[in-house]
Amino acid sequence: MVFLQQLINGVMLGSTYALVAIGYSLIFGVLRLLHFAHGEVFMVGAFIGLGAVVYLHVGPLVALLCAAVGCALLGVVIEFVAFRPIRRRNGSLLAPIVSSLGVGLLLQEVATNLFGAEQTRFPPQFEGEMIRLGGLFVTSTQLFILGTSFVLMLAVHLFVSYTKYGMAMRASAESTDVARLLGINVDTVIVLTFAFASALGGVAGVLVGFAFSAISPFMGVSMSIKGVAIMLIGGLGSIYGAMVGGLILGVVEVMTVGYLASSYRDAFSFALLIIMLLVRPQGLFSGASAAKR
Amino acid sequence: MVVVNRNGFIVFHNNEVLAIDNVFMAAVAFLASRDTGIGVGMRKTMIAIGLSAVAMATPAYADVQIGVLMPTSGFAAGFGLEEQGSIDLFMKSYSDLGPAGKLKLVIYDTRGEPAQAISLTKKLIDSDKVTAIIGPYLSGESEAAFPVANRAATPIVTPSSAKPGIAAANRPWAFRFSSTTDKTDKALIEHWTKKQSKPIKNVVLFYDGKDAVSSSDGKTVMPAALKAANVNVLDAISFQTGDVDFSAQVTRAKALNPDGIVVTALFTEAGHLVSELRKQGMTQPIAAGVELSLDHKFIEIAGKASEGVLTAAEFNRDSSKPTVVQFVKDYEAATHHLPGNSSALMYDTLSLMRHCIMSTGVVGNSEADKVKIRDCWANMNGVEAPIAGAVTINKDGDGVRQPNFLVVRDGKFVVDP
Amino acid sequence: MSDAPLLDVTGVGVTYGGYVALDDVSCRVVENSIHALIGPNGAGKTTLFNVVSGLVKPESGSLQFRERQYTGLRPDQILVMGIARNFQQVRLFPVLSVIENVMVGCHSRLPRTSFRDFVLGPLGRDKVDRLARERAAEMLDLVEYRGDTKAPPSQMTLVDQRRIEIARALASDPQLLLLDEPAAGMNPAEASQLSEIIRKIRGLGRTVLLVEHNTRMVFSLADEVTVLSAGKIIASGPPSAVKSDSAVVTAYLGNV
Ligand SMILES: Nc1ncnc2c1ncn2[C@@H]1O[C@H](COP(=O)(O)OP(=O)(O)OP(=O)(O)O)[C@@H](O)[C@H]1O
Ligand SMILES: [Mg+2]
Repeated sequence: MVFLQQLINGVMLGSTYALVAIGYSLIFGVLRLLHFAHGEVFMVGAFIGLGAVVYLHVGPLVALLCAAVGCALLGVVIEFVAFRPIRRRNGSLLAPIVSSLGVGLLLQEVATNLFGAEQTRFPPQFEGEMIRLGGLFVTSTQLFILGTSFVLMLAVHLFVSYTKYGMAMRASAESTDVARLLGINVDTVIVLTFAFASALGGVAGVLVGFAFSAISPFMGVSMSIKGVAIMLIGGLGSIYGAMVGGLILGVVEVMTVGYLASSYRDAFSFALLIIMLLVRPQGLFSGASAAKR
Repeated sequence: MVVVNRNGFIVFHNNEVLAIDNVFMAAVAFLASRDTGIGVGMRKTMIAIGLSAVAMATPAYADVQIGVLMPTSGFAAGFGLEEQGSIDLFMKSYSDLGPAGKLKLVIYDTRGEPAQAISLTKKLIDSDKVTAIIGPYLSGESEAAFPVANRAATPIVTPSSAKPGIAAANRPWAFRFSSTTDKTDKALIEHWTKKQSKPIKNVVLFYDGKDAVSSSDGKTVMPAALKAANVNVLDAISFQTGDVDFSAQVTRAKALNPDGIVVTALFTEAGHLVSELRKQGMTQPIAAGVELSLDHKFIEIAGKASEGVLTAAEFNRDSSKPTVVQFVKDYEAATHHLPGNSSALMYDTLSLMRHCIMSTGVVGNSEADKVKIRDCWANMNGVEAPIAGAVTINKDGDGVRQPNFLVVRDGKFVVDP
Repeated sequence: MSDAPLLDVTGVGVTYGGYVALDDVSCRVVENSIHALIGPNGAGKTTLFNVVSGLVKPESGSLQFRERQYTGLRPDQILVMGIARNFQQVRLFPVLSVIENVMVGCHSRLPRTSFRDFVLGPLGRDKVDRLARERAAEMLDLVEYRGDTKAPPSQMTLVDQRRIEIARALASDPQLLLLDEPAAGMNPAEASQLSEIIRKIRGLGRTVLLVEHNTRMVFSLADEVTVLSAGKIIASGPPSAVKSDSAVVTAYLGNV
């Protein structure tokens, strides 16, 4: 029973990781670029959601929508300001990395100046009702988070599998040259990818805000690191890898804390990463296996 | 780099020009890294450059210069901002030292990091030539900074660090205004167990394994206090400063079905933990160590879940003592917030430091002046501080006082009779 | 219709760091013809394809399609205009299934995804997706691909992979199809099957520009042959004329 409850805790945590990691993977897939500011987009999402709730008195779904739209716009602005000019000038490989780090720092600074360095939280009613299921218990907020995460993951899956632009996104991730020669405007795809990935990141930010009541300008920093780790576990650029990798990391973290000690948590996560790199360096999902759905 | 306080004012470490410098430095670091293409590790360094620009603060041609170390940015910034409120209030009325001239403070931000505390202590002594140092805030920082000051024969007084033994290990120059957790924890547990209708036999102990005082409390001090009260510890479960997800820890504790819960953690983590405890349906009574520091942020974070949590603190905001009433009123008027435990500790420490300067005839920043201040603190016996009342320092250099017990009622800390 | 060619390449030059890959190349491809481009290895045939499809920007010369100047357009714009290609080195998307590979080829011909499709489409497999799937299956049928369409292309033989690539290029409904050595690695039976497919494609009103080393196939299939050697056009004309051109024989055919 305790094990099941811990599993639920882990899946809860992991589903929010997965949403962030999917964004990372989408962007990495198309641009072959680690978008370090994605963690900060996630943070901005949390603040947008908080703002919508506090000032516009909206419900959780509308808050998610606000964060998704706001972050999609932010993602597009980042692409136009920080990445596109470098691509145009065929800048060095490091230039976009430094540029994304700079954007991340900038967003942190702006958030600190606007909202202060301390943690804030959603109003208490967002904690939700407690629901008992046999010996297990969850809160309505947890169910909402799980539900939203899984619906979004399903939506991502359907989007990349069954829509014109989803398919174009996957094709561009394989080879931008071939994609272009097949009539795909890769620049449009990149903008779309940033919008889509950032919207997911923003939603994850609000969900994490609901779950842990800890919104701060620095909440994206550790998320960035986790996102990269999940991508390595799941396979670079694979969205299914990001989903599964996120859930695995969440469960591993919770189980380590639940049965060992919190001080081992990061050690175990890194051990997992190293084992993956040794045993299956291409990640859980990669190459042909990712096409199997 | 630039700290924003709760009122939305930007705190420029009392020096506006420096803040401009600092932003400039950060921009230069950023632009430099852009051209040279520096990788991930640079991010931290860039922040460090920005911050060290802040650290070059406050040139003052003082008559008596006292250094102050406190965290005004980083995870412990909340504490530092509470202290800042008291400093501003105190300096408004008491910066005049009579014949010795003016009291000047050289204030640096430690970001709550021990390494930073060490280098800033050196800097205060070597470059700023201060007569004494007030701070740092956290036990981990004091543990690191005390030996530096002790070797350099400069008095150093932390207002707040509560981990047992850290002043004792650095005789004769290190002191603390606060009393140690071994004394407060014992008193807290006695008070807590006595009050319960259902006797507390078994508890689960939660502690922050990263924060120095919370960790030493959770691993040794609190278990000893519980043992003395005949309470059995079923499990001691750790988490790390900065954690926000406590579901795994709470699920683990819930399975043990304890009679009560004891927490030693800083206010942020304690807030999230208590919130998760109640969320998972654990209704047991909760006692939290002094690390909580009566911070209103604890209540803000934990919300309703904070109701009934018992803690110990030196400061009783609701005291009818006229000096306390006056302090609370002035502090609130100046900052639009109620003072916390950290505010009170800083205010008293400043008062006693000024008392030592004036009563022993300190006139400048000489070696002899340092000795005078050291002896004043070492022999302090029943000296009246505005908030805490009579203050005595024991042979270990620690403050000795009975703590107040406070409980959260209707979103406020009130004295538990 | 005038007798203006469908594709008109004039004076194109490409150099790679001093190495002249194409030197003042001009070539006209007549509408609804099968036009072969032959020449020894390293002659610059693939480079010319890259120029025509927009992957490589020529340093000099101009490109016209249907009498419209298009030098400098992006590859995706050129495809939309009506020029599609395959690759000498097969470049299918490994993580997409066979059918999905061909569906990506439909991209430019699919209706604009409306906001409704974009938001609600994924939930109900929108009509755009169905359209693409049907069209892709049709194209695979046209190239006589009989393998599994749901498997990744890496599981297929090289010959099948070439067929899939041709289907993917056809999916964009091009007026001009550029085929770079489509018969490489095929046995004679497969090669003649491919010839039939190419005729069928021409029969649908399309024009084919074909690079091929298999001279038997070229001379039986092509209406027009252009010979490229060391980056220069050395002959151009109907197969019978080119076959007997002495320069061609020394430069190329003699070596076969
Ligand atoms: N990207 C490039 N960089 C440098 N040189 C190149 C590049 N692409 C092609 N070349 C050179 O240009 C010349 C023409 O190459 P191209 O691929 O067009 O020849 P081809 O006629 O297609 O030959 P093949 O029959 O072998 O396919 C070759 O010498 C080749 O090495
Ligand atoms: Mg070639």
